[in-house]
Amino acid sequence: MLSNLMIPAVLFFGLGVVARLIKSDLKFPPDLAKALSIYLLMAIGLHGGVELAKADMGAAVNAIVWALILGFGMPILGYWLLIVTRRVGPLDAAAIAAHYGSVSAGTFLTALAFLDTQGVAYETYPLIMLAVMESPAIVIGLLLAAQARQKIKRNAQGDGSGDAGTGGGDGRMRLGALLHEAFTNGSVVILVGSMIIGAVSLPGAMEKLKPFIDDIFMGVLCLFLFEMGMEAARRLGDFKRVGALLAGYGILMPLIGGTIGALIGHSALGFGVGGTTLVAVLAASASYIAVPPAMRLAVPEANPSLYLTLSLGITFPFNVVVGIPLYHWMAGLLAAA
Amino acid sequence: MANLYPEKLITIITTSMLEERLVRVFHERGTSGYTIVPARGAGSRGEQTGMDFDANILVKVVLPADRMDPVLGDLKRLIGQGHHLTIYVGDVAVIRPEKFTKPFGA
Repeated sequence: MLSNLMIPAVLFFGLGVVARLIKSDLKFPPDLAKALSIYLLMAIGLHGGVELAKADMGAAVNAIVWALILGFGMPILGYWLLIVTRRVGPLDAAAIAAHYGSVSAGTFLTALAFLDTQGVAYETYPLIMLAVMESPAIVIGLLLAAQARQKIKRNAQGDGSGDAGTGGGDGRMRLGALLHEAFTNGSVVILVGSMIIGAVSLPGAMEKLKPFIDDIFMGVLCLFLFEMGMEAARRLGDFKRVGALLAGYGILMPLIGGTIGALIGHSALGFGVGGTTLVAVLAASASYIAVPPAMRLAVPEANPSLYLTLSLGITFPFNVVVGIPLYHWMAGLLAAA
Repeated sequence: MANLYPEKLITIITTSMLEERLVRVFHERGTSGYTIVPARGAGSRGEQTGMDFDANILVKVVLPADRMDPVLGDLKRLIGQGHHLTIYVGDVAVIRPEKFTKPFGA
């Protein structure tokens, strides 16, 4: 199991955590993580686009349908789990659940690095699923929050009154803005746009881009994870504020998601070990780049330190260190069965 | 010594996600301009680290006292929607009052 961690990307993540723990004065230039994530999404999108141009349409559509099911289903499951544990209010639960329905490209790319190192081949369809799964959870998060607001309002008013009508209108207006936010989200534009460019570009022209999208890719991923390690470690201190039960949720959710994802990848999509691992990673990961800003706008009542600590401080490190090898192992079991 | 003229200064600290909405308020209420800088700090919502998913802004607007209420009303509405804004208003003195009367972008 330990040898699974001996890949540079994961080790640099660890270095970032250590740098923070020993209180090093190391600091990355502002916006570096943003610049690196733009590169990573662009490179992986171009790469995926080239592969998808050769792919089977039916299989691609099937992957998209299952990505939508996961994207809409996971936040509802996550919300229900949070409400049952009664540790947070419904608005916080809605915001947290949205993070778990969406995906972390950083985790996905780490999984690619892991599979490459292990010499495991993988299907390219999970890449479309990565693009598709960014948005639905944001929409569900907003709908859950709107429902929670109405419930809170109803409780506050005792009996329901005619006031609910105006509240509904307001909610609809904000839904329009949020749908725009969800589907024009920067990550989605880069990823989908690069895929299309990769798919329609002439092969000769794409060959010229190889040093940019292939040769330096893993190095950039190391840099990105280095900084994310520092960010994750910064959040670890908030552990106490979140509480043990909620922190446990940050580990339970990826385990549930990973299991569901592995089953879907293997049974419904018929992927091999590599593809199944990637679908499990998609279902297990929680967003920390696309969703937090969206939730700040859409569910301002929710406490950002709760969802950032869970997704960035707990679930992301868990997935990078324990989750990915675990999902790979699960995928292997399913393939052997 | 130069003549000084009284104006009001509104300072707002909030998430960078609200930047566009604040600018729209300033525009609609005819303020003469605004200044926004990235901000870091800590408060009731925990530490703001300045990562792009976690960034705050510091917004400053100078305006005549009689134009202040509509702006503050719009800001209060944002707070009513659940957004978190730290707002304070102060008295300042300027040497060119005409600079603060013409709406920006007009």
